[in-house]
Amino acid sequence: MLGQQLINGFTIGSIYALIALGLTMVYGVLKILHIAHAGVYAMGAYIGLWVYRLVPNLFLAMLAAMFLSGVAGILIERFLYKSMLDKSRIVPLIASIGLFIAMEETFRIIAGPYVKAFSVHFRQKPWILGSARISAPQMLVFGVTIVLLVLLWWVITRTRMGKALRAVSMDREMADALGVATEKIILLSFFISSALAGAAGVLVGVFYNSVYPTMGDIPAYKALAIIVLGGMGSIPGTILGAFLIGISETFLIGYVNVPLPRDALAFIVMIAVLMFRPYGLLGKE
Amino acid sequence: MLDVRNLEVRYGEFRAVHGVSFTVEDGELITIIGANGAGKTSILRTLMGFQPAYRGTITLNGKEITHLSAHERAKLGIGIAPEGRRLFGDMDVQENLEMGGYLIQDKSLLKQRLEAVYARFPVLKSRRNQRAKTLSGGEQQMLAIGRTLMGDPPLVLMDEVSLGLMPKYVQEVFRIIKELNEEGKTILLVEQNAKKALSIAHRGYVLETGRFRWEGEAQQLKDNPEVQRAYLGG
Repeated sequence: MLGQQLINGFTIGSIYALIALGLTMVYGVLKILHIAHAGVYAMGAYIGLWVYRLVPNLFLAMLAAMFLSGVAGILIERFLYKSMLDKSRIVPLIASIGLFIAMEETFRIIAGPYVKAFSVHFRQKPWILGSARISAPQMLVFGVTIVLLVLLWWVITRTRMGKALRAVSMDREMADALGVATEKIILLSFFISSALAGAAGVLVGVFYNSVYPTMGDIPAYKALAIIVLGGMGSIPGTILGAFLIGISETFLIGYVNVPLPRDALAFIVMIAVLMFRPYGLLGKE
Repeated sequence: MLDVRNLEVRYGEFRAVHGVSFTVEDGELITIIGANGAGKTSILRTLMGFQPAYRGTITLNGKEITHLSAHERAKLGIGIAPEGRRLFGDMDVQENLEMGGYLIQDKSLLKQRLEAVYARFPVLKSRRNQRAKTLSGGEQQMLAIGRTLMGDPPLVLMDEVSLGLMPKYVQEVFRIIKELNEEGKTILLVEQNAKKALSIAHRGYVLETGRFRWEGEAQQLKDNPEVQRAYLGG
């Protein structure tokens, strides 16, 4: 039972991590809350589903979803946020919420309001570890998450562009003075963020066998809880926060009879942590 | 090398710098001194491209750069050791230096510069894998200067580099600035520590509420009784 809860918690945590990482990266470079990120996530799920129906190859569907979501992220930065950066922070926030609603409505108009099945037939048998079992979709979630997190870690710590990305999120002006073309780096961070969200969209679509226009609603606010919990803008903090929320959700639901909806728990965990660490797990003042 | 004409800097309605003109010749060490809030930092921020010029022109080696972005100016050879050091606190010492050499494409040149900075500041070498924010104030200042030197800019802007340091490091920082100038770097130094700044500079400008009140050879300024009374403690 414990092992199974842990596996389920890690599955949910993986998905949260992929979504929230993008949000934290965007916050890091632009200091804005990119609510429409959850719209990009839903878009990724639709693109994945669409490609998968054309060519039943999950790898290809995933790549296409990541790439096109990344391009969508670049367009959002370029045509929405860029003109608002010198305004009060509330302006891009409201624009972002507006875009998110518009995206959901667009999905509804194009693909219909109903839940679409994203059924993938896995030939892989579940792995049995004692009393716990890892299903094939869970293996997919873990596998993709691990690969993407390692890739992200490699990019931001080992490549020149990735280091520039971290430098821009720590001090944009100073990075600029050292010769970093900061606008390009911001576009890069939107591409990476949105590609991660697109991947998460496909994983969730496959894992729950469903894609629907408002699938981004809950991730939109839960990812906020996660990045606040992790410490705004901190990449390791966000990963930690995502797994902490994922695991606490499954454990609280599994062991304690909480008279609250599952999705409220993220906020309870967030409030509990912030009482002791007001800047989040790995945040700074 | 640097020619600034009628530079005016505004923050909204507030005029921080009221049309100043000055030049910095190749190989010179120039200082702008003045009280807190006189507009010294505003001038440097505008020269680097952090702050747009409201009016006036900035010319570097005959090319007008008034409207270029900071990274374009960096490519043309301006480096800055900014007020408050502005290190990348969560990066280690070596990564900070690598960011300083961001524009260098050639790996062996980058390595060579890195070794040169470590040779100048041996303490940085011993702390190369330590996060920048864990260094002491003096070490952080060495790192900030080292990071600027990585790009080997012919013109270095230095903003209050001695601020908040222990006396031992203040001496050290001024010694290094003088040394860099003697090695051929052109330096524009903004300082509240007027005495020290004038003791190493060739020429100086005294800024009061956004205007130059006095300018001239550093020695002349040091001998000027009014400058002495206002800035050199009698």
